[in-house]
Amino acid sequence: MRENNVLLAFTGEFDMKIINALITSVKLKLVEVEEAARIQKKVYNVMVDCLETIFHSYETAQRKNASYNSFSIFTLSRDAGFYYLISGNYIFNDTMEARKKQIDKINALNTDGKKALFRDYIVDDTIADQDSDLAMLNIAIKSGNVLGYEFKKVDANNSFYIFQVKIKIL
Amino acid sequence: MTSLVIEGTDLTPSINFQPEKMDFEISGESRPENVRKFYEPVMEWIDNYKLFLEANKPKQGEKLVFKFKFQYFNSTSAKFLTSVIAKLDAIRQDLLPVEIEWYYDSPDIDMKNSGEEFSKMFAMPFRLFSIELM
Repeated sequence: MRENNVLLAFTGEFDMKIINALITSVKLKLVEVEEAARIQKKVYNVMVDCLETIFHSYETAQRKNASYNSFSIFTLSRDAGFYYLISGNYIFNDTMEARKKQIDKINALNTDGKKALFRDYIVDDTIADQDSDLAMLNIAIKSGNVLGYEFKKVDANNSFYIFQVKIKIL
Repeated sequence: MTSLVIEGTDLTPSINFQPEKMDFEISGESRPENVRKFYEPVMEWIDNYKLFLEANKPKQGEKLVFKFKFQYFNSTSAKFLTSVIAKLDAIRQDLLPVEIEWYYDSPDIDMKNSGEEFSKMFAMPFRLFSIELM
């Protein structure tokens, strides 16, 4: 029988209080449902990076345009040998291509390539476009899997960006 | 030179720099809301400490032991940690031996890997210790 278990789901507007509350909830939930401390740590580490990335994207977008729709979603689930972290938030269409290129660039690299790029980013501030480059790379390295994404066009200016991270339960 | 002691919170690490004992430690979780604002005084203190060491030549056989005991640090903190380690490397190159001790919670392979990566980045030996932090 396939196991399918949503451990955490949130929809709404993120702020740091919400993010910290989610992080605390997940920490406790992982202790409850996951025996392997190594997997608890890995899922926690990736999840914190994911949530902070959403929040910083939201902050950047709001600064750019006060009418930015800050509705976001986040889920953590477990299904047939993997943990899935899925986030969703609105993105301005004029930033979509850059985001796509960023993720495709990361996905094209092997582990050593990702680590080398991470080293380059943290040493030279001018290479990475913003902190999200670094966080995205960190997520890719820690999860050990290809990053998933999809853009759903909403209107002329906005799309809904869905981001997925998969972590294998060893 | 005065010590630097900053109590940790859920989001920020503890800082405990004791220059009299040549013992320095950063521990806990590092995901401050404003990472620059948190780490700038830490880096400024290290810069002042280097000046102090230059003015008061270290004794023969003295060494500086710097301990990192993180449970988690976010990507932005990694940038500032790189700067901290770069400053320690400068002290090592110019003034006296510096020993970096990198502690990690035993199941946290990512934290162990981070220590190894930093060590490689600076060609600086790190002593890695697996402990039960949780």
